[in-house]
Amino acid sequence: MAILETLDLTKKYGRLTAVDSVSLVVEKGQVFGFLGPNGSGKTTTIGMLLGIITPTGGGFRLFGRDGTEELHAARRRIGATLETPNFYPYLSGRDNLRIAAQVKGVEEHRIPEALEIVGLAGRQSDAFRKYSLGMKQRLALAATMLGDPDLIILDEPANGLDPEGMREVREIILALASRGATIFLSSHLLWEVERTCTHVAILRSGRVVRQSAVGDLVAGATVVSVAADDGEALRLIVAEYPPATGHEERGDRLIVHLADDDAAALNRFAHDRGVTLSHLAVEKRTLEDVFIEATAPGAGGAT
Amino acid sequence: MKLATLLRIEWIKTTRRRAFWVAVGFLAILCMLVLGGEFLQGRQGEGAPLVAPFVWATAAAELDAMPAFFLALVVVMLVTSEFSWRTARQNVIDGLSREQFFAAKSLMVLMVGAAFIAVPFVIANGVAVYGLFAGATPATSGAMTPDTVANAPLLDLQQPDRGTERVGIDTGTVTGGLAPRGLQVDSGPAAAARRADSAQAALRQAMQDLRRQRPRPVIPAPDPDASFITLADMRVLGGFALGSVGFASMAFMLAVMLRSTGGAIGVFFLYFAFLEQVIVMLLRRFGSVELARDVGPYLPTGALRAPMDPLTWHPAMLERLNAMAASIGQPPQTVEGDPLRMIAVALAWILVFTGAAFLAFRRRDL
Repeated sequence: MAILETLDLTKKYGRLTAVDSVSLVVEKGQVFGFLGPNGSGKTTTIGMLLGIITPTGGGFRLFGRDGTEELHAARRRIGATLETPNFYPYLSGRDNLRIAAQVKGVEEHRIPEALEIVGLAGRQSDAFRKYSLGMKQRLALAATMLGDPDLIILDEPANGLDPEGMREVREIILALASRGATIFLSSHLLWEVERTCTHVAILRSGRVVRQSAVGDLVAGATVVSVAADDGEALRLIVAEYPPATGHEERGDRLIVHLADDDAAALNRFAHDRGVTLSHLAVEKRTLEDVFIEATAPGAGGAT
Repeated sequence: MKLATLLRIEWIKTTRRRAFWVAVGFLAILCMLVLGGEFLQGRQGEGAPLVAPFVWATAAAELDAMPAFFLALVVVMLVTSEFSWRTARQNVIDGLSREQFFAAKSLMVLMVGAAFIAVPFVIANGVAVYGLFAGATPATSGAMTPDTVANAPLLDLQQPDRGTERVGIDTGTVTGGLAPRGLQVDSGPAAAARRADSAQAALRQAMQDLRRQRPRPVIPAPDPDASFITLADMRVLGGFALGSVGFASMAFMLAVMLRSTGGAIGVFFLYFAFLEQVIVMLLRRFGSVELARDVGPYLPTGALRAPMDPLTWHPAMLERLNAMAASIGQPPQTVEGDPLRMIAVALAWILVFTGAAFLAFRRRDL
């Protein structure tokens, strides 16, 4: 059973379609990255899942349930943040968590543990408005983990953090995942998703353009970097090479996208045509390549 | 979710907020200035306010809608900040349904309302009790005959040592700025209808007459055995609370709909100071004078101020006032309007405001 499932979820603001027929499936135990440039509809999608934005069309199920009452009950098994950490600025970190605990129906004695995990125990009596952005993000994490939710939804949890803060947040997320929670996090930071997530969906202009396991997304195609003394001849040869899906110049090297992963075949092909490669290196295809491809203005549609 | 839990959540949010206590403190200071000034005037023989069993009724008449407008300000602040901080959204994400969040906020209005009614009530009785112990029986305590009153020196308003009168005027100006007291100097049938309806205005007029007019009225001696807090006081308190909560519910609706502190406060005061008069004027112009006279009192300002008039609920006070009026040859005041209908109309407005707020809150994205 999918923990979270959307079907053609759509939100229109007047003539603008912010979220366009988004269909996602998140299974139990996944750390699901919801990746897209700013303004691609990530927050709007999450807002609909959390019941604070009314969808224009389509639907979704949480823990296999739908319907207003059922969804409301299901949401009590979710810990979530949306956009910025939202707390009462004049209340201390601990009092903010007290309110969250009361709302969630969680015993208040769970608060110290949550503060401990996110490293805020020492600053729990300070007013929220005195926190740094990193501390605010961590308090949001503490609030989401109260009551051991089965699903944790985080909207840009690393937003505005320095590398050290990002690392801390990542470690907390992975720790929560290791406790058995399913995690759904949105981000515009590729490498963050790549390091943290097991699965990813890429959103562009409100549409899901790719969705798969992170490993599958970057596999199945290879990028090689080649060079030869006669660069012009090499370019002509690459253009004729059947498995090559595209190429671009980077300095004196040529970056070639291959449909297969046989770099030796390319070497042979060039050699047979009288061009000796002075450089041949297989470059790992990163999520960034996939992301740039998928979100480029002219890029193709869904998976 | 239990109501107690919702109440506890709002309790934390409200009582930890400094702005709330600043407002309470400011209200307390204003009440002390107004009621203290009133008390000192009584001591100088210009009336006999704040003596049992008329303590709260006198205070309610004097304070008028001032505490209610403070309440409205605080309600707006406590509601709009939930939107600007996106905490309403977070509360719903965390598991409150919109209905529960709305119920919690409504409870907050009642809770804060109780505080803003308790403050003037406690201060009024506190001032009166202080007077009792300070031996400050009003100078008029011995039943004065018209002769002695007429021979008593009448204090000049311009006299420099009349600090208390100045305080009274100052605070009156402050509350007058908040409350649409300007309505009373308006002319025309609608305003006249309102004047007639508002025995409060009559009381105020009588008080002014007491201060300024010759011959001075006989002020009945206070009963030394009278209770400080009577059943009639409780009725006055109930009416005061009803009107205050009514004003608060209108502020609540505006806060939920506009989601902006400035906008909600602006529209709120614009309405009471100005818009309702425009509505009455339009009724008169495009309907008829009778229509304006009949409908006017049912509009929010009139409908919510009506139950705040202590004379409706305190027959002994009306009697006393009329005795004073009679002693200077003025006709007696009567309280117009059926109290039950007053309550029903005020409750209806509270329902309308709260219902509209609920519909707006449920429909819109957070």
